[in-house]
Amino acid sequence: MKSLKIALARGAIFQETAGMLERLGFDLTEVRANDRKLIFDTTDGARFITTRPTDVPTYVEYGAADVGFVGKDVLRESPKNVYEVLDLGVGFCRMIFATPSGTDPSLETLRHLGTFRVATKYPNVTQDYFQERGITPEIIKLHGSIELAPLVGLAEGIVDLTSTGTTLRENNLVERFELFPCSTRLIVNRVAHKLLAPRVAELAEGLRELIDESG
Amino acid sequence: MSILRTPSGTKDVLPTEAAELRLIEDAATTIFREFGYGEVRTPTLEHEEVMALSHEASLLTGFRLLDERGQLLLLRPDLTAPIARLVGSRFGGQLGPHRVFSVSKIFRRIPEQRGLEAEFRQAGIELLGAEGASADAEVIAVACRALERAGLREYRVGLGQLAFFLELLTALVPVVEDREALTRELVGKDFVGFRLRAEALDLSTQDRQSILAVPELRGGPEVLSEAREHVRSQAMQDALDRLVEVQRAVAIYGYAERLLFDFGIFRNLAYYTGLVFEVYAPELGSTLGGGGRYDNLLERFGRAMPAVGFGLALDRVHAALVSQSAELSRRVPMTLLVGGLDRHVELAEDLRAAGLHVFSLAENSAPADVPLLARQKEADFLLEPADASGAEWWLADLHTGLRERHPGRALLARLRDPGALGSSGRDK
Repeated sequence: MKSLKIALARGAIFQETAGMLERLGFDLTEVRANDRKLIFDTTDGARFITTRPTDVPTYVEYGAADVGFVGKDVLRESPKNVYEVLDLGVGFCRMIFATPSGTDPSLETLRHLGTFRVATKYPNVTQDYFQERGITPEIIKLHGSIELAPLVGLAEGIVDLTSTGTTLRENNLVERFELFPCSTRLIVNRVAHKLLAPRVAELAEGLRELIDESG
Repeated sequence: MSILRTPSGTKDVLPTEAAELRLIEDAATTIFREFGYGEVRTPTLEHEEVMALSHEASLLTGFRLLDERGQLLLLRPDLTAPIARLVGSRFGGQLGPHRVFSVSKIFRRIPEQRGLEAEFRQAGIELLGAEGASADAEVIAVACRALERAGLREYRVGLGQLAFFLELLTALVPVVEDREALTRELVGKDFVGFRLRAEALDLSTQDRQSILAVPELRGGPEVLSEAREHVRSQAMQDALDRLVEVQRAVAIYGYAERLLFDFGIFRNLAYYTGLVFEVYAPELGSTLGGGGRYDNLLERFGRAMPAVGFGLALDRVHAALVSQSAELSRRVPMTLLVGGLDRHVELAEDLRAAGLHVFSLAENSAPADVPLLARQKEADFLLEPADASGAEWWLADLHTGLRERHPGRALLARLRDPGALGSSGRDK
């Protein structure tokens, strides 16, 4: 099981994922200690690759990593040709649509202009969600601090990931509805899934037992 | 079954939006007609070679298809070239000047997820066969008046003069390729790239200073005297004088205070030759429309004549009006009439004959659905039979919630003057 190339994202989901891997016997001491290094070869044959969350599926798709851990939000936004094997049950958050508190301005704008502006880091998710409901929003792609957009008149609403809702509240935004829930997933390269089947299966099985234990 | 989408960059228009757009369109076309412009309609499809005569490569990148002979067609990406074709081929025996307007959808390919403008509606006028500042001024005045008739309060017109800068380059930069490269940077709005290119040229300090300074000149009438310092030739002097004349002529129409002078306006369509202008609303990050003079275009369509025109993007004008809270509601109130579809068709007809708008429902409409329906249809009044015979009616003002009971024969008079509804026979 140990000799796998594993893509990990530094960021929100790192601690929980790393904790689970350690409980399966992986040695992540150095990965935890050094956040400037990008590749870590452990003595038991595993190779950890650390990258941005949005790049994890790309490394796995091309086989630069055999498996990877990534949030469902990333997979929904940029579908890649990889196997999505397991829901780790950690890194819970929700993709939501929010607008400034008070009367929902997106409805009034939709009525008059037939569209409204949505700021988001997730243009594909946003486009798909609204178009499946017959609405064509004007999508404004941003790379961070999405909450700012409705406050300065750049957009009527936002589509973004939230876990506690604190950032929304601090910016006087109200969740209007949820698009879908998100959590961390184990993804596997198409070829590794076949050629490294025993190792991949062992990893998935080990993780599944951990998930079942924690109920 | 999942909902079927509209193609990327397009949308459906529902009744509220459509009604508001129609008001804007009506306001604009009323003004166009006041100035003697006649409507023309050109085909949605044009031969590629027609659009190619615009000498504007960006107009050829749109939606293409083939006709039955395999000839390349384009979904109309612009109104000016089709109108030039029409005037060149159809106005043969007619004396100029020609004044035409068109309200049409135009089509452009857009990068994915960049707004909704693959298809948009444009209202434009063209004044052909008239030269001089007075013709420029009329076109600008028509644009201003159309916007104001539609209800726009806050807007400015940026007025530029391509000829001033192009003549400056002609006077100072001998190599054609250098001149084109400099202009290309400005059309691309890259002032940094422009500066680098200008600094690489072998020029006197003073000449380089002029080339760098002119595209940055913008502001009130004072920039016209600043521009005077950069004049190098009679052609430049003429171009500048033209701007002063246009300003004077626009003032007669009452729109001088709307003008901003801007020698950095380089509209991204290659057919413009001199005066160019753009319309801005403070709430919008994009222009509401624009236009300019294109004195060389008609020649390519077989009838050389000077021309000037503009186009307004109606959706953007609409967005600006909404953000300025302009009055966009329909003028005629609508009455929801229970029974107007079957038992009380005569009453519905009487109301319509009196000029009212009636939304008819069947007599047996579920009473519980009626208030919701009235809201969804944005009705102003609700008429329901108050008794089984249909002799007495409840008339409700859906904005105030006030109700009155009237005999059927009194309804017409009451609805014709609904201003005081609720002041008599009040029943909440």
